[in-house]
Amino acid sequence: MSEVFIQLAFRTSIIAFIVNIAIAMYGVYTRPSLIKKFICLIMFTDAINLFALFIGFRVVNNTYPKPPVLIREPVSPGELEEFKYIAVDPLPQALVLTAIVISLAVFMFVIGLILVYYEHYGTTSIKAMRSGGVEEVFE
Amino acid sequence: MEYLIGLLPFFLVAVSVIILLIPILNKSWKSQRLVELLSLTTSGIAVIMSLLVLINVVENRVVSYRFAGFKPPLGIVYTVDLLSSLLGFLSMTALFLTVLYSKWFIISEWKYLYYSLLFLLSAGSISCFYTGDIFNLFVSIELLSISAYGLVAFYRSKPTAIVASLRYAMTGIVATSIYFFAVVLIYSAFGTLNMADIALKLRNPNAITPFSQSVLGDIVLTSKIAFSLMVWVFLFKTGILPIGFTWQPHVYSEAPLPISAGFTAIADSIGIYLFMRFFTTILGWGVIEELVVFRITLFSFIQVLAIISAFISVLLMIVEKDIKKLITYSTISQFSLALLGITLDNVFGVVSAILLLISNILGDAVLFYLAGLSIIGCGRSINCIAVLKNSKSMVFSLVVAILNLFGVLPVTIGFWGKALLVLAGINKSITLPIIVLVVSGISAIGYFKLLHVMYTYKAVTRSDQELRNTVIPKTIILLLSTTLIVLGLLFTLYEPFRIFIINVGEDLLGNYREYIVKSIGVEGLI
Repeated sequence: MSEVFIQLAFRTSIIAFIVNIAIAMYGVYTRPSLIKKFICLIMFTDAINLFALFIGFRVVNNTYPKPPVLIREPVSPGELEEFKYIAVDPLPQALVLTAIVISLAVFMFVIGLILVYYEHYGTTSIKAMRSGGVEEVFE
Repeated sequence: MEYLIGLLPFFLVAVSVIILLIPILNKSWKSQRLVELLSLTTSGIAVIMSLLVLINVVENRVVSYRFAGFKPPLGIVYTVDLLSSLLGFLSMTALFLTVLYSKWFIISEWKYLYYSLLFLLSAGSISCFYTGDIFNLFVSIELLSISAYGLVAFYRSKPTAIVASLRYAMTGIVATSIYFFAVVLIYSAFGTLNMADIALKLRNPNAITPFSQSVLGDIVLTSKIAFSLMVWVFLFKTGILPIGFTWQPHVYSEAPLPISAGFTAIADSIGIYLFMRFFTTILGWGVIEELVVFRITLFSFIQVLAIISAFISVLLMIVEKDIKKLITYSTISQFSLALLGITLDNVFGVVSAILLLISNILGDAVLFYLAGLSIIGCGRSINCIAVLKNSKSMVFSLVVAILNLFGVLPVTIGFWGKALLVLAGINKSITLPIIVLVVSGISAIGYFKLLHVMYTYKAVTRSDQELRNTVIPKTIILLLSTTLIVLGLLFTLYEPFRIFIINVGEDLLGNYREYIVKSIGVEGLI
C-alpha cells in the first residue's frame, strides 16, 4: 500500500513540475502584465527548486527517507550502511537554499524595475511601452 | 602565485563594497574624486593580478586553487588553463579601460553606484572564467547578471533603459534557472559538481574518485538533456539567435556607453567561453561512445543556428540607423562566426573562435568609444559619425576597427580569425567557407556605410563641456586600434606568438587529461 502511495506521490509531483513549468513559460512570454510575468517567473524558479529537492530523496526497499542527521553515537557499520542508502542527500538542499537567496535578490531588483516602469507609463502593461506612450490598459 | 586566482574575485567584490561606503562616510564633492581614483587604481591592480595569473599558467599549463584547502570534488576549486587566463586578462583590461573611459563619459551624482556595479560585474566575470565547479559557475553567472541588469537601468529616468533592463532580467532569470536545472540533473547522475570530475566520468564511467565515488545514475541520458539545456543558456549569454536577439540589441543601445563597450569582454564572451569549456574539456574528445553521436548531432544543430544568426545580424546591420545597435549586430555576427568555429571541432576552428573573440573584444571597444565621441558631439544616428572626420587619428582608428572586423587585411588580428575559420571549414565542407565569405561580404556593407557617411554627411557638432577635453577617449581609442595592428602583425610575423595562440586551442581540445589531473589532484584515473 505504502509503495503505491509513494509511487503516486512521486508521479503527481513530476506531473505538477511539468505543468508548472509550462504555465510559467506561457505566462512569461505571452501575458502583457509585468506583474503576471513576475509571478510566472517565481513559479518557474520555484518549480525548478522543488525538483532539485526531489533529487536528494531516495526510496530504497519500500522505506521512507530519513533526515541526513545521525542522532545517536556510536553507530554500528550496519546502521551506517543503512543510513547511507536511506538518508536524504543534503547537498541539493544546500544548492536550493543558495538559489533561493540569489533569486530573492534578483526578484527584489525586478520588482523595483517594475515600479519604475509604472512611474514612467502609469501602468504595468507592456502594451504601453509598445505604443510608445502612456495609456490605460486593463488586463 | 596560485593564491592570486582565488584572491582576484574577492578583491573586486571588496573594492565594490568600499566604493559603496565612501559617499556614506564622506558626503563632500571630494568623495566623487576618491571613488574615481580608487576605481582606476584597483582596476589597474586587477589587470596586473590577471597578468600574473596568465604568466603563471603559461609556465605551468594548468593551475588550480583550492578554497579553504578542501580537496576537490569535496570543496570548490578554481582551475585555470591558457584559455581562461587569457580571457580573464582581457576581461580585466576591459574593466580598466571602461573605468578610464567612464571617468570622461559618465557625469552623474550616482557614480559610486555605477563603479560598484561595474566591479561586481567584473568579479562575476572573472569567477566564471576561473571556476572549476558548475554550481559555483551558477552563482558567478547570477552575480554577473544582477550587476549587468543594474548597469543597464543606470539611466533610470529613461523609460527605454528600464524596458531594456526588464527584458534582460526576465529572459536572464529564465536562462539561469534552466542552467540551475541542468546542474541539478548532472548532480543526480554524476554525484559531483566538479567540472574535472564530470569530465573524467564522461571518459571513464568506472572511475572512482575520492568523496564523490562512482557515478550514481544514467549518465548518457542525463548528459543529453543537461548539455542540451546548457546550450540555450550559453546562446542566451552570447546574444545569439533565438533568445539572444530578444535582449542584446536593446541592452547595448540603452546601457551607458562605456558599459556597452565593456560588455563584450566582461559579460558576453562568457557564453562563448563556457560553450568551449563544456564542449571541449567536459563533453569533448575522448568521451564514451554513446555520447559521441549526440555531440556531433548537437554541433550540427548549433552550426545551423550560428549561420542563421550570422546572416540575420549582418542583414540588420545594413538597415540599422542607430550606431549603438549597428555595433551590437556586428558583435552578434562575430560571436555567431566564433560559435561556428567551435562546432567545427578541430584545432583551427577553436583557434579561429579565440581570435574572433579577441578581435571582436578590441574592435567593438574601438567602435563604441568612437560612437561615444559622436553621440556627445551630435547624436545617436550613424550620420553623426561625420563629426569625427576632422580628427585624422579618429579616422585612422575607425578604418582599423572596420578592417579588423571585416577581416580583409592580414595586418589585423580579425583577418586571422576569419582565415583560420575558412581553413577549418574547408576540412569539413566547401559550403562553410563560402558561407563565411558571404556573411563577411554582407557585413562589409554595414561597416563601410560608416565610412561613407563620415565623408558624405555634414554633421554639426554641438557644444558640450565634455568635448573640451577629449584626451582620455582619444588616447584609449588610438591605443586599442594600434593593439589590433600589433596583434595582427605579431600573428603574421612572430612565430612564438602564433604558436602560443595555437597552443591555447590545442590545449583546450586535447589536453583534458592535465586539466582533470591537476584539478582533482589524483593521477591514474584517466
